[in-house]
This record gives sequence, C-alpha cells and structure tokens, in this order.
Amino acid sequence: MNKLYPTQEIGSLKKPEWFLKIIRDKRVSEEAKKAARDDLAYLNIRLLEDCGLDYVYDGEARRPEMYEYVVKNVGGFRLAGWVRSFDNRYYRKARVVDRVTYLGPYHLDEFVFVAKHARRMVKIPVTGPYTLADWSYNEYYRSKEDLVFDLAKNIIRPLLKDLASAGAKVIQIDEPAATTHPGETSLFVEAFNEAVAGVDAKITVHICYSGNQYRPLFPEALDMKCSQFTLEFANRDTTRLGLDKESRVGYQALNLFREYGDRREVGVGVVDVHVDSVEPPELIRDRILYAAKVLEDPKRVYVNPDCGLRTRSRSVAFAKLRNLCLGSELARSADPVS
Amino acid sequence: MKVGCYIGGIYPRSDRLIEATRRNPPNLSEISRRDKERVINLQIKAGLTYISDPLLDWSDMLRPYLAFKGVEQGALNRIFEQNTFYRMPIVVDRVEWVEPITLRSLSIDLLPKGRDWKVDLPDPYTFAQLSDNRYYLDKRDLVLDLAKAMGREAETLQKHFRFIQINAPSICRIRSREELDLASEALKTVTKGLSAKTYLHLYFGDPAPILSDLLSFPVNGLGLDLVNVKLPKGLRFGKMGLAAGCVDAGNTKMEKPKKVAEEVKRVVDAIEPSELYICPNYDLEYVPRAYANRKVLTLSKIAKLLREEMGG
Repeated sequence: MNKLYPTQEIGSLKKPEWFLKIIRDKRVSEEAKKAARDDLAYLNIRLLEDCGLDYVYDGEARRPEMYEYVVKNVGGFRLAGWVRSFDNRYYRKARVVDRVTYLGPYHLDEFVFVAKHARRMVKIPVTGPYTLADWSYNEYYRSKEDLVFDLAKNIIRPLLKDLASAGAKVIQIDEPAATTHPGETSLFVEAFNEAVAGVDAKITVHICYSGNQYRPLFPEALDMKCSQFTLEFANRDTTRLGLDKESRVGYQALNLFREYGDRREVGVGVVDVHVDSVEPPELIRDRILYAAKVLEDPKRVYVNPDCGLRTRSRSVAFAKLRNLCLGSELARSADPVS
Repeated sequence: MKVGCYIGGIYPRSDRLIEATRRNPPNLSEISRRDKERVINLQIKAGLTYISDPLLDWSDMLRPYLAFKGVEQGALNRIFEQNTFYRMPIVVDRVEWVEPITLRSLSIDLLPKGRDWKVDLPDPYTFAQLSDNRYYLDKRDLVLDLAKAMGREAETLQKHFRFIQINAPSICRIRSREELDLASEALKTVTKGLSAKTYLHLYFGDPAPILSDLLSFPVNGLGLDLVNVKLPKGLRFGKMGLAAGCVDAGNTKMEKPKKVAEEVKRVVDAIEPSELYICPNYDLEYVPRAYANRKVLTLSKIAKLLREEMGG
C-alpha cells in the first residue's frame, strides 16, 4: 500500500447481546441464525470501514473464539472445558485424541462474504499451527512436534491455499503462542514456513503478550516466510506524550528488528485492548512516530490495536479504532523523524 | 515413611461460577462460596492430608498482594510458559506490610473443623522477579522488603494453618550463588519462628542444577515437578521432605495411579526424603474443572498405594 501508516484491525470484536440471544436460542432456526451472522458480519465491516481502517475483516463475527472455532471444525479434537486466560476471561481448551484431519476450508464462507461486501482491503486472520498445538492437551501424538507439523502441513496449508484460491490477498497468521516457550522458536518457525509454503498471498504474522519482549523470536524469525510482524506494544507503554525512550518504554522491542537487520514491515500495536480508557490521537501519533524512528523507515510501519478488541465493549472498541485512524492521520502530517 | 497428599494454588472455577462472574449477579459471592464448598468437600472425600481454600476468587497468585504499600497493578504478562496471564505488580515505593492480606482473601469459615489446613504464599524472590521494579536501585532491597511483608503474612497465617506452601517458580531458574543466597535469605525472613510446616514449591522451570543448594534452604520440604523434571543422581534429601508433583496439572490425560506410584517409589528410594507428600506439579487451574476433580482423586489413589507399599 502506498499510503503512509496504513491502518488495520487484528481480528475479533465483541458480539452484541442481540446477536448472542439469537445464536443461543434453541427455538431459532439455523436459517435465522445464519442470517444473524451475516447481519453482524456486514455491520462489523461497515463499522470498521467507517472508523477509517484501510484493512478490514468482519470482527470474526462467525467465530466464537479464535481457537475454539478451529478445533470444532478440524477432526481429532475434543473440547475439554474452560481454562483461564486472565481474570475471568476463559477459553475452551481441547484435547487432541486422534490424528488431526482437514474437514474442509472452515473460513472460506466467511471470507467470500467479507470479500463481497468490503470496500477496503481485506485481511483474513487464521489461527496458526503452533498456537493450535500449544493451546491443546496432546493426548494422541508422541510429541508436540509431530502434532505441530501435522497441523501445519495437513490443516493450515490446505486452508490457506483454499483461501488464496478464493481470492485472499492478505492472510494474517495468528500465533499468540509463538514466544511462550523460548526453547521452541525453531519449531514455531519451521512449522510456520511449512504452513505457508506455496501459498500465493501476502502473509503476515500476529504475535502478542510475549512477556519476554519478543526476544526469543530472533534470530530464527529472520527465516520466517512472512512480510509483516504484527505485534502488541501499547499494553506495556506509558500514556505520556513524547518520542523519548522513557515515554515509549513499551516499544523497545522494535530495536530487535534493527539489531538483526530485519527490514520487513511491522504492524505496531498502538492501543491497549485490555483497558477501557481510549487513547487520544496525539498519543497514538507519538507511538507511530517513535516506531518509524526506531525502524528507520516510516513505510515499514502499519498501525493496529495490540490484539483483537473482543474484550472491550463495542463502543469502546470503535472509539479506540477511530482514534487509531485519527492518530495515524496526525502522524502522516508530522515529520516522521522529528 | 509418612505419606500425605494435598493440592495447592488456584483451583479451576466451575462453568457456573465463570458464567456467574461474567453476569455479576447480586448473589455472586454466595455462588462462589458454594463452589468453594464443593472443592473443599472433594478434598475431604479424597482424604487429603491438608485441606485448602481453592482460591476460586483469586485472579492470579500475586493479585491480592498488590495491596502491599508501594505496589500498584501493572500490565498483563504471561505466567512463565503458560497461556495464562497475571497483572504484573509495579513497585513504585518502598514495599511495606500494612494489614493481613491473605487471611482476608480466604474463606476460612468454610474449611472443616478438626482437619489440618493448608495455605499458599508467594516466595519473595519470585514476587520480585515477576514485578516491574521502578523504585529500588538494588533488587536485593526489594526482595528483602518483600520478605519482611510476606513474613508478616506468614505470622498471621500460622495461627490457622498447619502447612504453608511457598510458591517459588522463579527460584528454579537461578543459576548464580549470589541469587541463591538472596532467595534463601528472603525465605529465612518468611519462615523464621513459624510453627507451621513450610514447603517450597518449584515448578515452571528446571531446578535440577541447583537442587543440592536448595536442600539447605530454610524450609521443611521441597515441592518438585516430577512430570517434567529429571532429578540428578546421587542426591540425598536427608531432613528435607519431598512433595512429589507427580500429577500433571498441564494435561488432561489421566495418570495411571499404579504406574505413577512405582515411579515415585523409585525417586523416594533414591533421594530418601524425611517425609513424602503426593501433589500436582502445580496449580490445577490449568486443566478444566472436571479434569481437576479427577486428578484430585487420582493423587489420593497414588498416595494410598504408596502408603500400602511404604507403610506411611
């Protein structure tokens, strides 16, 4: 994209109550539920575009969650129950009880719908093989490695190819677990490359809440077949304005790209998805400009929230996204290295 | 040899409690207490040696202690290599104990009379390692002030609890003499003069390279993750007890009690601890509730088999 500081969302948005009532109501027909999913997807696309984002999707309107949706649509998994992510946020974790099998392109219908209705560029999020394995209880495979590679080659790669064939131009592989086990970075990278091998699309990777400032990713990440790292930073930053290192303490991991000579794009998380306070555009501007300064090239900077916004109310989420776009506009009109 | 069993840390919430906490109804605390009662009754039914509050209302193991003077709530951070996150404490001023925290964060009125009770405390060194220190110039000062604060907590707890499990995952990763001495000195402040039994639980890392040093730490026993860690040969526990973390809190796959009991017996024969407890390798909150319940019964069966074998 030629525009400086293109804006993008990461994935999920909170589902509204009216939608959940319909989906949970056993008396409502499947046809009516499908119509509700279409309505929400359409609404999300329009709202994301109205915020001013350059890359949009449907807020993952059809997916209960980035992990659960996948394991329900891939053979070999059985849902076990709720496990805490943080506070009272839980996700349903699955057991791997048999060899994983591809039952079909589980994101294809939603992608076709979004592609038909979106007026901006479409970026589809797809949960990656390493995260799917890491978030599951392996009761079947002899090793985690066997499970990860089976998922990469026989589940994710066919899915990505099916999506690319259907017209997906930008695919974001979600790998929040990538830095969970610093000793497994090679496994993560090799599996990632297996998954995207031969896929004709721009591939980006989203990683978040590393806890170790993404350091375990390097140097192995230099071999990853992707054009962009979309990362979380705002969660660890101060809310002071400024382009100094102390004010932008949350963004020090960007130095890794400079340290290792990695010149690829970085999707920079500029809003915290775990707090309700809405970051002012000026703060977002400073975070963007600081990233441009560290990465030594404003063209490498994409702008996004830290992660999906599903934990925030829709009003907070859209307020954050609107300010994200306003902050990007301010950054565009500023001197990027001042 | 005496063989006991217990669980520690945070237990998984039931589906009902998770849902209720989301909705936040007026009777949420009553729902939470009923859920706690179920877990306490399960511990009694399973014949655990020590009964503990399952900490269902705790968000993470450090959260209540953000109430220490000088500590504030920070960003979400990963708990070691888990897909679960805690709020990182930010140390903004000198850490000081003001009033009992653990005690007011427990439901001790639900614990059974006539049984021995057990409680968890974070190890001061681990607390410091997992915090964002923005005040102390020297980490040593932070660790020792945290130790004083935790020591005050331990003092208030020993009136009620016979057993204190000190959770120390960060100690597993220590590889220097200086840091080991610091961790030990801090623990000495916590455990000094306590009548309660204290066990240092080590998990989320490999303590094998420092195990011989840990044997002289000021606690009554060590809790080790026997699922993921291989103990070095030639180690003798002597006066130190062993809490054998042989039930995997990281996987839903159910252990075969007989097989695990045999493995634990081999370890015990090799290291000769003064006493033995059977427990999960860490908090059971990493598996869903139904699996955690089954694991509690499993560890009880393992302990029973070992008692039959070892006469404890």
